[in-house]
Amino acid sequence: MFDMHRRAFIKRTAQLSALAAITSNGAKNVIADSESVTDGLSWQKAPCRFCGTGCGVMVGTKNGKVVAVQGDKENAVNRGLLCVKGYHAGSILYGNDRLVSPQIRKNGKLVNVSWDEAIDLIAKTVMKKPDTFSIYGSGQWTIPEGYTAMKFIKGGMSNNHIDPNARLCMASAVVGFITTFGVDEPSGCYDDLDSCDTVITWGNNWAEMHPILYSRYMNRRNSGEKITLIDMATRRTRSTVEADHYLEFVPQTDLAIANCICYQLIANGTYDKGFVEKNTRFKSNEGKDLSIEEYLEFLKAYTPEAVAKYSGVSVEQLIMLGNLFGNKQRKVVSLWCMGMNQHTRGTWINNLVYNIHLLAGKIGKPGSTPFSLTGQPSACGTCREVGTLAHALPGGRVVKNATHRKQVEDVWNCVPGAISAKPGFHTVRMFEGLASGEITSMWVQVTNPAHTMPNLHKNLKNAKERFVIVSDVYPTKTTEIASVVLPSALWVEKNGVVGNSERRTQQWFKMVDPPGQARDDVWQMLAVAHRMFELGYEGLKDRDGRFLLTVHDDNGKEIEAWKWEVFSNNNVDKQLFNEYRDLTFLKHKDLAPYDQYVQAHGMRWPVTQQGTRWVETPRRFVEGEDPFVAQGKGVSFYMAKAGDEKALIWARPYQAPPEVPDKQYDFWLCTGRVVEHWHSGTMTRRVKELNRAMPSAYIEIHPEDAQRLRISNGQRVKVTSRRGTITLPASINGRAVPQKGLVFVPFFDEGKLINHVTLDAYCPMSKEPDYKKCAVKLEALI
Amino acid sequence: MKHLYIVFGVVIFAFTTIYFSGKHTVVLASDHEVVVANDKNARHSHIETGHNFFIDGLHTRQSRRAFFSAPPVIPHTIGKTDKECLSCHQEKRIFRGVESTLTPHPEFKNCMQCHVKGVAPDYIPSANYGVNSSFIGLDKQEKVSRAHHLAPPVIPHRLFLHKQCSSCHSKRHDHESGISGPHNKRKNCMQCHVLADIKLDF
Repeated sequence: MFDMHRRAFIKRTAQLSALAAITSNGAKNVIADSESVTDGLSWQKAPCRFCGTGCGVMVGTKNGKVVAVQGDKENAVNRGLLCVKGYHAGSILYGNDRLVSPQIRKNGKLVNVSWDEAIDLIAKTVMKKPDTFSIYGSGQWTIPEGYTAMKFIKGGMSNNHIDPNARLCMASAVVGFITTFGVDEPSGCYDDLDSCDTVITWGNNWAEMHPILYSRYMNRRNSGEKITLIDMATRRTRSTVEADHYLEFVPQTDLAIANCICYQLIANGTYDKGFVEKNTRFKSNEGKDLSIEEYLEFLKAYTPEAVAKYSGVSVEQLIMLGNLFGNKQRKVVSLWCMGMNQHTRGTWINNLVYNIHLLAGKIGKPGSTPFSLTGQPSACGTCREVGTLAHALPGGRVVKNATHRKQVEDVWNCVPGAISAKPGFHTVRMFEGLASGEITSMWVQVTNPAHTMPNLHKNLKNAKERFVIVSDVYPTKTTEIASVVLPSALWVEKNGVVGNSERRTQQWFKMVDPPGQARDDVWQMLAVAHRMFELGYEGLKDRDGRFLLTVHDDNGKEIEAWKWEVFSNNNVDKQLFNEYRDLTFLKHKDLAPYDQYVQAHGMRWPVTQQGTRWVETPRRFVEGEDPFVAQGKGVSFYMAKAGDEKALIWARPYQAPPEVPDKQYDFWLCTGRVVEHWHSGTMTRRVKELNRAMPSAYIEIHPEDAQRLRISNGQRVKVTSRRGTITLPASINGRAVPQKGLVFVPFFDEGKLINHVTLDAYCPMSKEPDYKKCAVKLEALI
Repeated sequence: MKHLYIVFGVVIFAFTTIYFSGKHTVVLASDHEVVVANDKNARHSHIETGHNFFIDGLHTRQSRRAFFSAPPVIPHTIGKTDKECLSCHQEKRIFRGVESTLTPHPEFKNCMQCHVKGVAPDYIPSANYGVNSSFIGLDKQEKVSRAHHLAPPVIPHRLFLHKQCSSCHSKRHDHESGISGPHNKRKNCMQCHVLADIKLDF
């Protein structure tokens, strides 16, 4: 018996070796230096393509194709582990419907055309009405991609209509950081998960959405450490399973719960007096200075007894939270993502959680930090640091500030005054403009707004009649409305640099060629800009009359990067990154030169040169870790607007959401993700293992609600809001269970677009829409 | 009466399993892509036998992974929590005469972070959810090599997440025998078997 196995085994091995020998003859050169090559298989580092956690992966390529993905043990984020999406990231390149040719819509149909024809059409159409052109970008843009788009539109076209999908994702976090600390992005880091004793999640299902971080923390329990997990949420999820406390709150009352904790800290005298006096100031909601007594007066509306009445969280649980933060010994990390950001008071709730940590002195110490998680691989690196937002400029600058504009114009060598002082349209406004005709053309890169915008019927109205250019890798809902479709290179088909949630900048090299005629997004923009320059567009000339987006090679020689052959044989990323780097020092977001990131498996900014070494900063604002904190300062919020190194504690009240369930529309609707799919599913739905495990959206209903409405598991349910309706199969006691009166629908499924139903009300400060709360009614179908 | 119910239950269960195990087949497609057909309701369908279970075992293994060393999909019905996974995959259990596969990385307990089901959840109506992909995953066979035909083969994969050799390399049940060794009782594997390439230990 064994002999037979052995023979079969040898035979099969021989067959496969022969096959390998044949195919390896045709192997293409892999552009970058390989870290490891065995049997024609090469492994190189890259950051994962998906979420903002920023895991390091090792990509296995063979014969010019990606054949395997493993976790990068050298990467401090994930230490070798990945989630199911990360392992299967290689498959996203090989869906059979990859876009491989530029297309122009002619007589209603997309027709394959040459790159020259597409670029010429775009350049000429945009030039006709340059002021009503807009760019809608992405937190999945690499840093050089976002930087190029920014320079093109703000520097070259004197137009600020550029905003990223991160507006739908991180804007509340940004405004929260800026209003409290005077500067964007977290001060803590993932290392705090290794040294804290308590994690509290605010509306965040991290077991599915940031599973690597969840495992990083929970594995400490597996090895015998005593750690606590508190899950504050509106539905029971996989993150609730291991939680010590589950606090189920009524949507929007997180505002009141946070204030209740602040009330207890001050009323009980358990706040960190020394820290608060040295490092903070109090502000009224309107921005007036408050004394601590006046602040306490404001908080008196938020006693545990008062808040328990409408939050759904019991007095005991609220007191437990108050005592937890009041306990000087506890090291607490607060985590949140879309639950707090996609909120009509997203900025306030971000401020409020900082209030708690500032009052408790639980910030700037190992294991104690409020930590805002990101959803996209470079929402931080590109949208927030490069600043691809309607009001921003690179390095934390803003268009309204004349000095900032001049600094950027000098680096870009623009004609003085080229950058407009008037902020452009933010995302929702941009799509309203597209509907109304205030925006006549739009270039969409690396995102799928016809799927992910809220209230689609309203926000995508008339989009087909405008000139919409879409750069993407697969057909999507957005290519359906496009006038021009450009096929893009994806992930390791191009060079890239991205920045994750913990200020970690990571670089990778191109490993395989893009399919067909697919080309880099940076190249696409350079080519269109250069065509406009050739056609005599004044804005694209720099001070010396040369092409504004000129790129040089390593020796400082100008290269014709708008030609694909030239672009693909040079590392244009390196030039763009090093140029952008000059703009990162103003707000102490210092980056190292490109080559340092080639060596490192990611580095957290500010990165400064100390002797011959480039040193990263694990925790910002902390003496001994952050080089910009002077000796003897301890913790210093050195970017405070008033220049007094103090963070602001804001008196933000509870405010009811704009739409609440009533008699007619009697359920809350919450939307979100599942572990298998990422955002609109453009990539993950091309992966067999992922799509097979979760092939369709569904609606989660509480078992008692389902019983009352006579809905059984798997039954079709019609969900309707004032804006639209869709039909979904019901999930009862599935992987998650919502609170009574709330339903949950994942948004990945383009066949069942929940965004026909969602509301587009947004936070007035951050302009980020609330995808987590609106009123719907259900109807069981037979 | 009570006994009758139990007997009835056992009979129904036996019929169901026989029915579905018959329907569960592994199909090798021409482009090296292996698909598991008709296993939507199969409970523990990984317990199947074939004429040449050596090759069948490899095919079954391959059918559950996107590429060599990818996390396998879950080939049977599951509960809601990871604790339920670990009740069989952390300590040896015998189910229908077959030992459970022990996890090669007991230090990780958030199982469903990496392992997803090979079929859709029960509340999603069955339909053809096929994915058109030309992805061809790495095949493990190419790197199995040895100095001479009597030398111990080198280890062709990384050790991270794969430290418990016996999880896969045992004669635990037939279909996995494609990668089982001739001396399963020996435990100190790395006395004779070394990594094919130190660079594999990235």
